[in-house]
Amino acid sequence: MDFGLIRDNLPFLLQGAWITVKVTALSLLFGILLGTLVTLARMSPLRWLSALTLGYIELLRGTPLLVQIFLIFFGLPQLIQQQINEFAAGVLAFSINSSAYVAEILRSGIQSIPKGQREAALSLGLSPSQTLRYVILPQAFTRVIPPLVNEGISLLKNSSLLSAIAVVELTRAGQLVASRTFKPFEMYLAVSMLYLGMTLLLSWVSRGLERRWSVPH
Amino acid sequence: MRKFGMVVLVVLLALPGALAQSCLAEVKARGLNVGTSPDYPPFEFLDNANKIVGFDIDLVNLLAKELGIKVNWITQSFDGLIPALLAKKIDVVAAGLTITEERKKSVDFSRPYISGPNVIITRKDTPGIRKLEDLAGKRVAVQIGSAQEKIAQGVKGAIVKSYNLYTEAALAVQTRQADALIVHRSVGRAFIQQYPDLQVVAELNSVDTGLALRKECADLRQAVDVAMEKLERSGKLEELVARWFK
Repeated sequence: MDFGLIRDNLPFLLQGAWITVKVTALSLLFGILLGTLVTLARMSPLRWLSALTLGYIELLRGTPLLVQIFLIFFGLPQLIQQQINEFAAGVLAFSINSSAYVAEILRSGIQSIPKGQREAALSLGLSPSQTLRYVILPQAFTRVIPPLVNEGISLLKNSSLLSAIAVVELTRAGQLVASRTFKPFEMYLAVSMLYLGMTLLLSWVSRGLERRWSVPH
Repeated sequence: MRKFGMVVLVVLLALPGALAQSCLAEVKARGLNVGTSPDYPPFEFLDNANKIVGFDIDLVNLLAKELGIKVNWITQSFDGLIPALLAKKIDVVAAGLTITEERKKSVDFSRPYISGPNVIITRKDTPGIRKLEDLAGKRVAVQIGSAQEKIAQGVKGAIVKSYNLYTEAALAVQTRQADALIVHRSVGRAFIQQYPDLQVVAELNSVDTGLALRKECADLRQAVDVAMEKLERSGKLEELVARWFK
């Protein structure tokens, strides 16, 4: 074991970890925004829109993320005759992929609120949109925090797939050092510890949010 | 603690004996585990039937026949080959490996079996790249852990993009996701045949290619070298080069 090697390369690994954090944060943000739109479309009374959205979700859940990344990075530039840098391609692929999962999480959160509440709010004279805004969504959001954080954690770990299109995120940083020094064990150990640190931090934040936003039932 | 000390002592005492107890005899008994990464045509690649073929494959098979050893081919990612060799998962790396001073610190190399320059490849419509220094500020695609990656990193201002496979690095240049590719000439030729919009714009210094072996397996390396010399003298090596590289 060569711990000096880990110490010497730690700044480089931390640079990679920072890229990992940026990709994850941006993708989660865009994923939630896009996912919200997808949920609305999915729950829309328009049958064709709902069916189209279902197709979108199944397509994204049913194909490997790595293939989606390659499609966007290598395929899209040929299609639109425009270059995309690997960071943008990565964030785009992850945001689109994540939106499918986020949409299903939000839908299940909204549908988990008993029908009686909606009926009660409407009969109290609230409009449908007020019912959604003041009664349904606040409760739904607290329920979806744990699965959304789950999505965040898997995004964070899946961002290692971007190493394949030469984004120097944490995994690629570790691979670069390992392939230079021929010491994979030390490097991947350090890399896994850094991932663990980041996911533990996310879990901790999530528990805080749950406590803060909990709605008494 | 004393028990642990004893174990260490026994291991240390046994070690020189184990090392002297030849690698050659061991591989003769159990077969030679050869590691390669079949994404580097024409050195090694998968043919239409998904069989590993290529120059290195034929070469090692000839050498093994000469030595009377059975070969087990083990494929894995290129950047994991030397670590696998050091971890004794494989006995020989046959992967179009450039002989470099840095690698010599960790492993031994056989006699070189191919010499030739690395080349810079760009798209035909990419202007202004005629020599190594022109890569400053440009995105240079290479394979992770390759000798060419090292060359690219040595160019001041070059933005090095390391891909898992050389075929991906070439695809990145073809789809304009990278500006140039540094690769061994013989491999570059294969890419240009595949992608007609790519071209060689510069030849760099010539490098030697060899098989890598563990340092403690000097006897195996010597045996391989003797067999390689035989192939050279009989003209079989030349025949092989002609078949795969011309």
